[in-house]
Amino acid sequence: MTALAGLLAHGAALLLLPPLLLGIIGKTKAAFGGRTGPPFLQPYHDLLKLLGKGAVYSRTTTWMFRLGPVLSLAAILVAGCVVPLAGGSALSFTGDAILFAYLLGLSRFATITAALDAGSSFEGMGASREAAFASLAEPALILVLAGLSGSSGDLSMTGMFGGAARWETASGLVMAAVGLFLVLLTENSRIPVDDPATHLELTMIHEVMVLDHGGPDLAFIQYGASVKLLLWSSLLVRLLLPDAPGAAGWAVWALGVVALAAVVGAVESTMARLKMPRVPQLLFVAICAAAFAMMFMVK
Amino acid sequence: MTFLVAAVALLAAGAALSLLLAGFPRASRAASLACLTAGCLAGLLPALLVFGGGELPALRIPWAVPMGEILLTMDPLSAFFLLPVFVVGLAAGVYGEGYLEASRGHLSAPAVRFFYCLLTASMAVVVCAGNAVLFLAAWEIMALAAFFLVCSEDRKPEVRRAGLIYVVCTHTAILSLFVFFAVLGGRAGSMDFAAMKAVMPGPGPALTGLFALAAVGFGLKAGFMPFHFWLPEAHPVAPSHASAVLSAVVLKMGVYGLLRFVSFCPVVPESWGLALLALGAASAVLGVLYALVQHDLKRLLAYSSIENVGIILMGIGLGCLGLSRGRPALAAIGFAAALLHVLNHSLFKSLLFLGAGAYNQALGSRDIEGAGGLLRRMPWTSLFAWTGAAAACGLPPLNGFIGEWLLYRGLLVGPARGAAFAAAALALVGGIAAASFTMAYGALTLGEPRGPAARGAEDPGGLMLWPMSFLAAACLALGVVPGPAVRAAARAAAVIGGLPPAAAAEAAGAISSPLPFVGALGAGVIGLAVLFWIVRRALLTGRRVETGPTWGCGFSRPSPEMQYTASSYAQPLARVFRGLLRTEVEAAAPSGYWPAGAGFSTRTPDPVLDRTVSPALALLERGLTVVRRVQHGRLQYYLLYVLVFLVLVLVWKL
Repeated sequence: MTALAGLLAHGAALLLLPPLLLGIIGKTKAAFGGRTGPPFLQPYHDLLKLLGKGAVYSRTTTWMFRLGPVLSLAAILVAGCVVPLAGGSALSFTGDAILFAYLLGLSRFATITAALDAGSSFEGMGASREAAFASLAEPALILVLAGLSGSSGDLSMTGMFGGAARWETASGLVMAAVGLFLVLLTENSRIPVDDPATHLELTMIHEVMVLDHGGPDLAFIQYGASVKLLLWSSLLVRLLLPDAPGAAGWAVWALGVVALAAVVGAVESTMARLKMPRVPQLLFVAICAAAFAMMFMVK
Repeated sequence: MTFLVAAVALLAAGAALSLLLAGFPRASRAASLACLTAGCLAGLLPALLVFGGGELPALRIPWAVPMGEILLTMDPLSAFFLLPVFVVGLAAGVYGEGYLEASRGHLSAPAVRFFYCLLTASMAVVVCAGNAVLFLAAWEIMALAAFFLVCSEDRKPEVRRAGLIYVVCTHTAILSLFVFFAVLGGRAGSMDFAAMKAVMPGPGPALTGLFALAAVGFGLKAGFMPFHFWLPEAHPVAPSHASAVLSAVVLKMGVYGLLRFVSFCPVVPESWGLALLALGAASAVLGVLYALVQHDLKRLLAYSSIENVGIILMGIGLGCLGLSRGRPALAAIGFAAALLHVLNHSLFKSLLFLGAGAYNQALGSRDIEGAGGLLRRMPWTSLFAWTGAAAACGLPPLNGFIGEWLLYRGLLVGPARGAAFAAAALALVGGIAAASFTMAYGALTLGEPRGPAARGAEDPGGLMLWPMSFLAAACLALGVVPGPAVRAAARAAAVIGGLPPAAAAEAAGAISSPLPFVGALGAGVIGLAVLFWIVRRALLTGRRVETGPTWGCGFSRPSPEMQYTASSYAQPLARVFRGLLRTEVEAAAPSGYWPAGAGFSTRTPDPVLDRTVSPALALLERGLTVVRRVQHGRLQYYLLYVLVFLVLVLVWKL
């Protein structure tokens, strides 16, 4: 019975919570700017509005363009099955961490091919940057995973991000958190890698890839992006905060995720986006941090 | 075994009939197609029988060649390599008939068919040979048949150059193998593999020497760095179905040789494992980086083969580390990952080469920059190529993921920090592979056509489409139901590691226990995507769904030439790795108020062929020109040489 309740809680948190994180980030940015800002639940209203609209498709596009949003969202949600929220993941097996990384890769592949299908130079540019930065972020993630599997002796997400912070390897943990946070910012197209609020197409990455999507397609994309943010946040929270059984665990986890969203909002309010050629340098920092984390953790 | 002999005989008959009936094109085609199909199907039977748990007795036929004997044996390792030989051989062979027909006389059909059948038959013998003389003979037939396939269009100078490079490399390889087998055979007094295995030396210089010979001989065939340099020259110029077999199967014969050699060794030094792991990682990273900066589709695929051989080599290195450290589970997972990737790469790479052949014939060129919009014009080819491209990026729920997933598992629970860095390299390779394949696929099939050839392109005939659909379905099936292939790979891995049955069974169980989850989640992605597609359709019914131009960010007259090109797409990563790539750029910037013209082109020379081997050979040639001064064609001086020589001999004898 508790297992079923846990599974239901996992599903509900995975499906319902994500847009709230975007609301928190928006509210934080507004607070830094001295504004009231849109309400916390604004992203839900936006999604509902988009789902209620019709659609306009470019004449250049084919089924590939229409496949992008649905395949991307499907891959992200399935990846959500193996990510531990509070208490554990819905499904846990040896090597699920690799499946997580590659399912996000599948989602990216679908988004990129859909973007290229529109035949616009802007979307091609966004796709090119997305592919380049993602391929540099991936080694950092794998090095963090290698460190965690080395210290926990387990290759499942639930075992590696066990929630019981291993403070005997505190230095490794800090390094892993730094690496993972930089990967989180990159994968979720946040400042300083990408600016989700910019108004100039030339400076965008993720937003410019979905320029031609509208209506329900755009709703799928934005919802998928918010789920992805929740997944990455959950990994970081589980890395740093202790786990507790039952409701206490959920409370700690929710607090952590909300705080992390506020941190992302704060970073976004206090930093400018980096110049594009500087982004790889930031990712090399992430790789180095992850490499040090691995060296500290693997005996 | 009878089936295997029948398969080889049928393939040989197909080869012979193709030439004998050359005067009757339709009969020649029908006969060789029938022989090829029957031969490949017959050859698959014994392999499947071995994986079903059957034991096949060895077949011995006396042979007049000194120390030679026609000895065919089939253990799980041989049987595993028979799968790509016959599956890809059949698919590419059927496609080849359509391809030859569509090439409208550019290729000599009887000759291509003859060498194709011979190549397939010889590879079957290579993996089943139990005698070194037979092995070398089959190996040489394979190498020569591949050479003639590479040189099919020998009227073109670049084809002749590629053929020359290939034949020199393949003969260097076989020279090394001659020495290798001669040394071992001399010790054993017999050329039987079983006898050779019994006399393998213990750790020491002798074993290291044998390892070096095997690494050069088999490595030149497998094509990992730095022995890869013939591959991006030779594979693109062959007919596409032959390129498919060359890249997907012939390279794997080198891998087979290396694995067979490891299975001979009673002890495996730790340094081998580390060396192979490092070599594999370097090969994978450099291979995929060079793939990223190619504009020639088949050259890109050839570099991607180098990458994948690197991944396979990482698996072999991990397996060797497991053996040397006495960890059978690690050895099994490393070798199983390597073998699984052998099978998976052979499926998706042949699919991609077959797709490349269809694009090549439709466009009349292998350049990806001038294409575009082919998904609309060649829907089936592009659908199958999309599957192949996603599998090549190692994405679930396709087969490419399974092998890489096993390898990651081995590397992450693996021996040490070095393995973790290898895993990070593998992650980088996965990311850049995704960039390369989205680049090539996007430039070819997505967006608007950039030239007249792309505007008029059409799907090829059914004879070319059906094999592609079969390979694409195989890629999906092995990704969703990976169990049987993984268990087969684990059985073959146990043979390489010489694991006792109990340890082998335990390792195989550990390897394959999470597989149902992986398959189910992969199927879950497909199911959810279909569900969302239906949801969207339900949402949009009754609403306004319009079509319009692509949003040009306010610019109202976009043209196809303004689309992002493959080179621009690759630029951010090429910039990051410019120190490794050293791309040569020729740019003529527009100048003045009314610029008349501008140009831009990039070329990335191969680090070994163009930057090392060619300069070294040029230096050697320059050194030898000094000696060539004596050879100038003047008869008087030649007579003088004779006189001087005679005088010298006279003086010496006095």
